[in-house]
Order: sequence, then C-alpha cells, then structure tokens
Amino acid sequence: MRAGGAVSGYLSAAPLALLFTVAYLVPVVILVIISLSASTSGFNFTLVHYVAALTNGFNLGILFDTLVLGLQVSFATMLAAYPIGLLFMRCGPRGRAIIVFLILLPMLTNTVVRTFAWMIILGREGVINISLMSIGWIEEPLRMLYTRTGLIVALVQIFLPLMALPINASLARINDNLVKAAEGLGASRFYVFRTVILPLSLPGAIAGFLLTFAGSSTAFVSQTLVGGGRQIFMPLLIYQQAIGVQKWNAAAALSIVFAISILVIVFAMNRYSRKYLRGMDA
Amino acid sequence: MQIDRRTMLGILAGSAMAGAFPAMAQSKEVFIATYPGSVDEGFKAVVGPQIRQKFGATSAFSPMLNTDLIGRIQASRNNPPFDVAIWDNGPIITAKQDGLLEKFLESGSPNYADMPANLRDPDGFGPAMALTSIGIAYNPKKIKTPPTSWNDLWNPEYKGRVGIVGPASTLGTTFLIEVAKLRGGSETNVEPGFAALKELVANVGAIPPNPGALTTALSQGQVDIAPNFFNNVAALKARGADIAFAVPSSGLPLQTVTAAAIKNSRNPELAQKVVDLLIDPVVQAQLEAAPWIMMPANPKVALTGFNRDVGATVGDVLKRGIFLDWTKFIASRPSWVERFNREIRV
Amino acid sequence: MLKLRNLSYETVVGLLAAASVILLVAPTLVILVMSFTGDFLLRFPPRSWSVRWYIELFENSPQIAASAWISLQVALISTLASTTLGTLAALAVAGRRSAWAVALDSLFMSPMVFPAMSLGLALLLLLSLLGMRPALWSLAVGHTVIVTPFVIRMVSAAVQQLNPVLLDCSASLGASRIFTFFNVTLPLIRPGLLGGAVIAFLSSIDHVPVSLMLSDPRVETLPVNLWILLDSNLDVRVASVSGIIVAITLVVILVLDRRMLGHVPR
Repeated sequence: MRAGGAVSGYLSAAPLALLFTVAYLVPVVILVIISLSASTSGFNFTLVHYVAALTNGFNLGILFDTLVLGLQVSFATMLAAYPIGLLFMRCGPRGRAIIVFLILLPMLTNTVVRTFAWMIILGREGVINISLMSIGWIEEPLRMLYTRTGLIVALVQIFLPLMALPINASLARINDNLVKAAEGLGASRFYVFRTVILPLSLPGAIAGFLLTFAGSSTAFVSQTLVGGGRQIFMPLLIYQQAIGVQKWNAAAALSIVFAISILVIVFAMNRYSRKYLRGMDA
Repeated sequence: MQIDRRTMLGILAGSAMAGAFPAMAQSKEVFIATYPGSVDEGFKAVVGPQIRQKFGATSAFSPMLNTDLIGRIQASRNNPPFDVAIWDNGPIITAKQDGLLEKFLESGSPNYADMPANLRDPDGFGPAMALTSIGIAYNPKKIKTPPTSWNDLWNPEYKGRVGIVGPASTLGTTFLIEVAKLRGGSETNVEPGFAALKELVANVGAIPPNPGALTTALSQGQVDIAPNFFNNVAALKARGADIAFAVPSSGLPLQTVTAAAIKNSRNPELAQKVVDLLIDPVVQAQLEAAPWIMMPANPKVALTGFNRDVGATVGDVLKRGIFLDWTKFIASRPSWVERFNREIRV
Repeated sequence: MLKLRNLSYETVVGLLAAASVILLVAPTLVILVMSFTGDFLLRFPPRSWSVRWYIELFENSPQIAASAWISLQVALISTLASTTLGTLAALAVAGRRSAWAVALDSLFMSPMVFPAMSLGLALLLLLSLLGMRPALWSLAVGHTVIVTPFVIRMVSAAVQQLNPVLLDCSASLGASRIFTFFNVTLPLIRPGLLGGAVIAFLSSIDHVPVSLMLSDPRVETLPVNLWILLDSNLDVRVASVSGIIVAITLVVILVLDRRMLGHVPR
C-alpha cells in the first residue's frame, strides 16, 4: 500500500516540495547568481566576491572563528548535558518529569530574553561580579560580558536543551540490566560509563552536537549582544555587508561560503559518526 | 489537550485572514525611521500623538542606524518601508546620491521660515530638526576629576574602563577625526587617529556594536568613560544614572539631524507634512524637555534643563559647535570601518 | 575501595548535574527578579521594587503589543502550514530507502543546518527582485521553511513506529486511502504530529535572523522588536515582556499533555 506506485507514493510530498522549491531553492539559486555577479544591476559574471571572501584574511578569519565558536560551544554543551543525562537515567518517572520540565523551561523562554539575562548576569556590575565582590572572593570585577568565554557560557545555556533532550532519550533506552550486570561483575561506574553508557548514548549526543553546532555558529542575537562589537562572526558580517554597507553581491558570496562550510562540516561529522557507530556494532 | 478543536480552527482561520488582507485594516499611516534610544522614545511619545491629532493618521517608528536604513530602502526602493526618516550628516550624502530622498516642499511648510540658512539642506532635501553634539561621557562616581580633553581617555588609570565604537557610526567617525586632529591629522588624514586608537586599546574595556549599546555599557557600569552623544547622556542622567558630560577642550563637535521624506512614499503629501511637523516649535519644545532632552534646531525653542549645559540658546550652540565637512571624507569612510574592524581588536 | 570510587562517581555526577541545572535555570530567574525593578535602569540588585514596568507595558507600549501580535500570526500560520505539509511529506518519505526519498528527506531537513541569516538574505533578494516589500506572508513562508524540519523529524519517527499490519487491515476491509489516513494513520501519529507542531510554533515565535533580514516596520516580530530595544538602550520593558513570556510558558507547560512533550527530535 504505501509502497504502491513510485509516483503516487510521493504525491503527498508534492505540496511541501513545491513550497520548498519556491521559498527555499529558488531564493538560494538567486543568492548564488547574485554572488556570481559584479553588481546588482544586470548580471555580469565574476568570481571576485568569492575570491574576496576566501582570500581576504579578515573575512577568512571571521569564517574560521565562527566555525571554531560552533565547535567550542558544541563540546561545552555536550559536557554540560551528560551529567543531566546520567542523573535522568538514575531517576524514577517523577524525577525524570522534573528534569524534562527544567530542560524545557528555558527552551520555551525567548532566546532574545535569555541573551538579555546573560548581559545582566555577566556584566561588570552584573549578578556574578556583584555577588562575588560582596562575599569578598574577588576585589576587581571579572571581565565576562563581551568576552569569548562569556559568549560560550551564554550559548551553552541557550543550546543545552537541544543537546540534553536527545542524550536523555538515548540514555533512557539503555537497558538498566546491562548496567547492573556490568556493575555486578565488579566494574566501576566510571568504567561502565566509558564502555557501556557512552557508546550507547553517542547517537543522541551526535544529533545534539550537530544541532548545537549549526545553531550556535548562526546565533546572531547572542553573538552580537553578549559577544560585543569586537567579536565579529559570520551572521553579523553578512548582515553588515548586506544591510549596513549595501554590498549585496559580497554578502551573497559570504552567505554561500558560510552555508557550504557549515553543510560540509555537518555532513562530514554525520558520515564519520555513522561509520564509527557501525564499526562499534560489528 | 483541553482546547476545543473548533476554537482552535477559528483562531487559526482568523489569523490567516488577518494576514491575507492587511489592506482592510489600513487607514492613512506614516512610517518614520528614528534613531535608537531616547530619540525613538521621544518620537513615539510626542510625534505619534501629534500626527494622529493634526493629520488623523496613524504612525509607527523604527529605531535604526542610518547605514542600515539605506540598506532597507535600497532593498525595495519602489515601495520603500519608510515615508520619513531623520539623517546624520554623513549618511544623508549617500542617501541623496542614491536618489532615495524626496525634495522638501518649502512652500508648503509654515515652519521652514524659522530655520537659519545653515540648518537648511544645501540641496533642498529638508530642514535640520535637531542638533547632536559629541563629547566625553563619564561616571562621576568613579572618575573623580572631570575629563577636559579627548587625551584623558589615554590616562593609564582608566585601564579597562574606556568604551569606544567603530567608525561605522557617526559617533565613531567623529571621535576618530577629533583624535586624529589632536595628533596632527585632519578630516582627510586619519592615520594619526588610528595610531592613537591602537595605543588606546590597552585602556579599552568594551567596544560595543553601536552607540546605543555604548550608552548601555556606561549605564550598566561596563565602562566608566567613553565618547558619546550629549542627548544620550542627558537622557540617562534624567533617569538617575551616574553619568556626566564633558565638553572637550578641542571644541564641541556638532551634527545636524535632517528630516527628509523618502522617495516613492505611498503618502507623499503626508510625508511632507510630517517633516514640517518635526520642526514645529511646539513639537520641538516637547522633544526638548526631559526625559528626551533633544537639542532642538528651531531657534524659536528656548533651551531648558540639561540642554543649557551646552549653550544658552540654539544660536549659542550653533556658534560654539564645530561642524565636520562630511563631503570630504564620506568616500573613505567604508575603508575606515574595515580598517577599524581589522586593526582595533582587544 | 570500590565503594569509594562509586561514591565519588555519584558525587561528581550529582555536582555536575546540579551545576548544569543551575546554568539552565539561572537566566530565567534573573529576568523574573529584574522585571520587578522600580528603577529606570537595569541595575543589579534593583534599588527599589515595583510592577511599574508591567503597567508601562500594558498601558504605554503599542508597538511591543503590535509586534507580539505579528509574531503570533506568523507562528500560527507557519505552524499550520508546516504541520500540514510536513506531515503529508513525512508520510511519503519516512522510512524509505530509495534515492528519491533520501533526496527529498535531505532537502526538507536541510533548513535545520542552512544558516538562517543566509536564507533571510536569499528571501530578501528574491522579494527585492520581484519589486515587493517584506510582508506578513513572506515572513510566514520563511518561517515555514525554517520550522518544517522539526515537524518532519517528529512525524517521521511516529510513522516509522506505525504497524503496517493495521494499515493493510484497513485496506483489505475495503477502506479508501483517505478513510484509512483519517481513521487509522492520523490517530496513531497524533502525538508526533502535535509534538512537531508545538516545537514548530516555539521555534517560529523565537526566530530572529530571517525576521530581521525581512524586517519592515509593518511586520516587525516580537523578538526583533526586543532585540532592537536591547541593542539600543537596554529598555527595562524587555524584562517585563520576558516576565510575561515566562508566565505564559509556565501555564502552557502545565496545560500541555506531558507525554506530548516527551517526544523530542532526534
């Protein structure tokens, strides 16, 4: 029945395919065309914008830095998510519900709002500095807002739900008897974690990693508000080039380069992890 | 789920209809681009009600940087998102060159006669509606000796406490030029300015993305001393922030803020009327008052409160201020922006 | 020895988990506290307390209210569109291995990793070429593309768990495909479908880059409006808007079926 007829089987995907053609593929093709044109008035083929995007040390530095930021945030988020997952695994249904609630709460709070909270927390006279100074742990305020570390912390918080939920889902599926058996055989919990829990939860972690990577490297709001004016990342560069200085063709080329870099990294990680997981099954 | 399915469908259908027929709800409306911060708040509170009262039209205001505004209008110049905008001295040159502005109908403006010659756009695009001056903003609780010169920002005592912005903004460009001038440069030779900024890096605690964010950084204690617009500082002070404004000994850099109608507006007559309304002495006086503290351009308006720190009358302020000639360096500005982004990193 | 190691494991995991949970919840709590400041400035700790910014929000902030309404419309339209079209598409491609199915699935999933700012620029350029200005419908279409992957992922997971025997039964009893869809398939995939719709709605309400690129004073969404308020002057009303969003969120979580939210995209 569902396999009945190659064409009719796909018919129900047609409306979405049509929408994606008009609202996604066509605009992206236009983006490519404009990136290959010298100016926005008429089409004059040139590669100059790509050359500029890929050879200008400043642009290239920003691209590299953006991808590195994405990786840093993804790793940090994974480190923050695992303890929650391990706790989740040990909890009964009620505890699990509470944990899911705590994970969802920030996810349901606007990202702009959460970013704003981080500005208040990390500021020179913000929550952390005022508290630490009042109990006498520090004398001089720490610099956190408008720094890389501050930005990473804020982004970890923003993407933690996207990492924690799939990790929890994988961990919940691990057969408790397997863990108990390993422990019964005298394995330490660290050993069990390394040999049983970690490999079995990797699919969830990888899914979370990819989502976090794609999300944090394009998180325009947090990057500008918490990162400040001296840390420039690709989304801001694209926005400034397009809207701020009206170099539409250059902005289009940067967009394409950025998109391809992200897609290539995601694709490679996905591929590698699948291979790795298949290798483990064998 | 407790929500009744029919109610849900009703809400969805209703919102879809509202989206499909926006024209039904449309009356006469005017869209005005403003500046971020107290200017925008003032426009919303003062100009909006006046437009409703005088012209029976609704209005909406969007604060944005002038550079972004040009991009927004360019993206749909046949059907621009705004009817009226206010412009700094630099970006208005670009806007004029790009043909984004409509000439001002001087004959139809009862208030235009009030404006002195140097507050009328030389190419006939509109009157100045406000003056903005630039000086040193500082936190008097933390900086005990009031600064007197731009050079004070280089004081080693202020390590990590100075804030600056890049030349993508009028504030950043003016600061760069003023510093260049102090070190033997000029409007066209900012080399000494960049050299000085590189030395300043040791003191810089934050480079926020735009002047509004720099003002925020001052009010939040993120930085204690920074170049800033007078009206931003005054508005913060009126709200109880620990902030003060010092006029640099090298002089008070002054800009005009020009109101202009946008070409291809759907409501050209209304747009012209709004420009005239913006220089109306009554409107100007309301914007001059706390908590907005705009420096008016119409000389008929008396200065009160904090504005009197800058001058006794509008004429006084005009005499005191230094105007930069933006036509001389507007072409080099993009390269300054790029250079700042590349070289001034902390 | 063994016990000690296990104990330390418990402690380490417990402490780390506690730190993560604090990290998760802290911003929301801080915002709630700050929204009750009586000051004009967002200073910590507030020097006085009041609900003035909530009052200010309700009495004196028509543009914030207007942007909230725009966001709600965009989110409802894009949720409806992505759920309907996404479910239909998921039924066609879920679990299939053919090249076509894989290609379509990759296409439908790709907005999840395609930089939204690039997509926003692409849509803006398209509209510009057509001589059109961004409007509510263009925002809704952009958001639909952005949120569809969530629906596809959730519905596909549900479809793959369908027992084909049930569908075959229905067919062999003479039921039409459409009858089978509405009476067998749909009820079975309903949790996944609703979960996808909820995530689509939340993602749309939260989305900035496309909305910012396509921003127009007539269709400014709530997050874009908040972003502008924050970027330019750290307006205290942002805290009270946040307070209201948090309150609505709490109500929604309590009202929604917990099982529905238990399904997450993987």
